[in-house]
Amino acid sequence: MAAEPEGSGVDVNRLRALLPELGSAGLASAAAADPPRRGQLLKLKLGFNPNSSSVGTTVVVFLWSLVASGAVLAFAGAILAYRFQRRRAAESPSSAAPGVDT
Amino acid sequence: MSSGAVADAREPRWRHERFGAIVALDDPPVLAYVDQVLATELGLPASPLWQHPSREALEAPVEAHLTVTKRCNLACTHCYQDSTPAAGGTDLPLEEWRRRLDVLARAKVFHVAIGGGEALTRPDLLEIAEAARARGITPNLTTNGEFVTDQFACRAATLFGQINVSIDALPPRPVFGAHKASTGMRAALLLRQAGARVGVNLVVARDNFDAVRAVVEWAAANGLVEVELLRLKPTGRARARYLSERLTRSQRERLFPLALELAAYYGIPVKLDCSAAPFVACHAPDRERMERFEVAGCIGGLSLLGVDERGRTSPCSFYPGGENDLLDLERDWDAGRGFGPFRDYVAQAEEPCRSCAYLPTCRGGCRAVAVFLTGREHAPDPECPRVEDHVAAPPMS
Repeated sequence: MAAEPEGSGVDVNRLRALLPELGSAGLASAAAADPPRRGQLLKLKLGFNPNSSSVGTTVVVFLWSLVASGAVLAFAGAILAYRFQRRRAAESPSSAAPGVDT
Repeated sequence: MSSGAVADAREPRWRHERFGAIVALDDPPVLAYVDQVLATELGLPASPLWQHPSREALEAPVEAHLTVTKRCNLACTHCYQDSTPAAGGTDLPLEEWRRRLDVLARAKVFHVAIGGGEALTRPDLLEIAEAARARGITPNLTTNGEFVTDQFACRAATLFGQINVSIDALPPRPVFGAHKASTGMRAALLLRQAGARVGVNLVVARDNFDAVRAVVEWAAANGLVEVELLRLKPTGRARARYLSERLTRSQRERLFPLALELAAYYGIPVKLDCSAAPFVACHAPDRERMERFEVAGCIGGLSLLGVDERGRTSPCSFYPGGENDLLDLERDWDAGRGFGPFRDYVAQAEEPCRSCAYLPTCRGGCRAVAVFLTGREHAPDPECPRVEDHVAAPPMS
């Protein structure tokens, strides 16, 4: 079982049930992240869009309570923080910026 | 650039925007819009863009829909591309698509949605997808499934972020003039068994509205990741029968509650496409959640780009494009060439959109529908229930 990201107040198992899009990737490792403290995640798009028309409307978000919506954003923030920390750790100490600037 | 290299899906990709940055992950698949403070906390360098005034359009599309061929083995009556088995003579060759993928990579576009026609009629489809991956762009695919084999499924599972298969009703029911569901179901299962992330595309219209539930049930039972309900649009061959095949008022109002009910009951995400935003907004859902989770209406020309089989751009693939080539994207995107009614809709909105609280997220519904039904590109979507009521209401004395 994955641990909760410290400070985010997220129940990972509940989150999995609410948000299958997140899958299992990063759920355990995100616990090691130092979650963002001041910055804001303005918007979150979940999943891929294979379609011609749009990135689509994930109506599942309306099944979540407002509390759960906040938890999803907090958890996504923790996952991002973890990924960037891991990336920085893999780079040379002199490198200030993450490398995959698409 | 190596054509065979596949980017590490776990590495975050990012680009600066005026508000901060967009970060993309493939696993889990998310696009995160972060403010400047969070971007800095994540370790991104500051950008001169952060001094620029905010604007609605992003610095580049986050996604481009690529019509890689007009050819299709089928000739469905609702085809928005007017595709046939004989089409395809204007398709760009692989090398030309590589040049255009270079342009998208330079613009830091995160995703391409590859479709057609039937994209698998191109023998070099996987090479196009590989070229996207090699440039740090995640390719996704829509197919009717006819040409999906075991071998294709194995290769596709490692290349594409997600593959959606078109299933508009379960067999034996023919929909839109074609018996394609069995083929699509077989393909979806092959792809799923190969480890691909597979979803269903369902074009919902008057006669197959009652078929949605069974498709969602089947998709959930077979481990697919989502069902996307796409509104029928009056483009291509679909124009001819649009007025008799489009959703009724009652169906439009039931679509959002139905999607919620099915998602909750079967435990599978159900999506509505951007053109269905008025059918969501008419139920007055929570606006903050809409905005935070990008439950958005028309984003053509703002964060989405259509590219036809000749490489010409448009705000979305359902709207007629001009002669602007994707090769000139950097110039055309900043200048807004060809994106007019999509870029300035909110600023020029007419009633009842102008006074609608959902205008910033709904953005007036579908431009393709509005133009077809009214002849005016800035007209509110006439099929929005609120617009219908506004038009029907007697003028205030």
